[in-house]
Amino acid sequence: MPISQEQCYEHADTSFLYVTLPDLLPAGQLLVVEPALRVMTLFSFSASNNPILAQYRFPYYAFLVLQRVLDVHPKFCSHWDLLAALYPEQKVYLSPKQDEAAWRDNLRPVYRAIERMTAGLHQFGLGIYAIYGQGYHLDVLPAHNHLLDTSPRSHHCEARVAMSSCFRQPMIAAPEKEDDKTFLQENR
Amino acid sequence: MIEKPRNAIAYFSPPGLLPPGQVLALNQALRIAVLYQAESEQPFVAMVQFSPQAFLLFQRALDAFPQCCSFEEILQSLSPALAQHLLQGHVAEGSKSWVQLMRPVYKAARKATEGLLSFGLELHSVRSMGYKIGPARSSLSLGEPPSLARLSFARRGTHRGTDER
Repeated sequence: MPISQEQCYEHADTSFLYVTLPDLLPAGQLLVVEPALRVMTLFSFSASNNPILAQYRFPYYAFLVLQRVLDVHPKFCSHWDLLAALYPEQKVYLSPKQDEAAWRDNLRPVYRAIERMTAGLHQFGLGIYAIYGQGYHLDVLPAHNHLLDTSPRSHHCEARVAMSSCFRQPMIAAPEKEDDKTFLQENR
Repeated sequence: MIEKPRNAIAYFSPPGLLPPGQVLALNQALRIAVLYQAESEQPFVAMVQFSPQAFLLFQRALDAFPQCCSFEEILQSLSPALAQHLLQGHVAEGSKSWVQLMRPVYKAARKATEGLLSFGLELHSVRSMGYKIGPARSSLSLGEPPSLARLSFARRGTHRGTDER
C-alpha cells in the first residue's frame, strides 16, 4: 500500500486503515478505509447508537486517487502524483511546456477519477479543490463548516478553509526553464 | 436488540451471538456488513460485502435469531413468486421439486457462509426447518480471512444439509 503518512494513518492488524484528519473532521470522528473493498466509513466514537455516520464504496480509479490525496494531506496533491497513482507501472511524463490542450488531454483520466471521487467525498462532508495548474487539495465542504465550529480546533479549521480559497489561485509558479525530468522528480 | 436503521444502516448486537461489546452494522444500500468493537481505538474487526441474495438471507437469519429462520420465509424474501408457488401446496416437502424450488435458498446460504466466517459466525442448517445463525464451530479468529480449507468445509456442510432432503 502506498499510504505511509505517520500523522494521519495507523495501520491496524487487519486490513483497515484509520485516518484521523484532525484538521478536517470533528473530534471523536475518524475515517476507516478498507482498501480491498474500496470502502470508506466515517465512524464516530461519541454517537454510540449510530456510530457509522457515512459509508461509501468508491470506483476503482477514484479510490486510487483518494488514497493518494489522503496520503499527502495536509499538502496538496500534484497532477504528477495523481497520474502516478492511476498508472503506477507507467512512466508518467507531463511537461510544463506542453500547450494547454495537450496538458488537459494527458490529465483527462485524473479529471475523470476526481469527478467520481467527489460524489463520494461529499457524503463525508469533504470536498476536493483544484489548485490551478498544480493539483488538488482536500478540505471540508463549506456547508459542513458549522459541524467543525463546535470543536476546540474550530479556529484552525476556519483558517484552513480560508487557506483553501487562496489555493484556488496559482500559488507556486510553474518552472519554465527547468529540465522536465527534474521538475517531474521534484513534484513527485 | 435491534435499533431503528438510520442512513440505511441497521445495528445488531444479539447477546449469545457476538462477544460483548461487538456490534454488527448492516448497510442495506451497499450490502456491506461491518463488525466493530465500539470501545476500541481501532474499532473495526471485519467488513464483508455480500451478494444481494446472501445479504437478504443474513438479514432474515439475524432477525430470527435465536430462532431458526424457515426455508419458506427465506424464499419469500429471495423470490416471492417461487414462495407463492410453494405456499399453494402443489409441492410436497422434501420431494425433488421441493429441493429444486429451494435451490436459490441453498445458493444464498452457501454464499452467505463464506462471508459470515469473517465475523466468526456460521449458518447452521436445521433439517426440514431452515437456517439458524450461530457462532462458528471452529476457532477461526475474527477479522482473519477464512482459509480455503475452512471455506470448502463450510461449502460441504451446506451441501450436506441440502442433500439430506
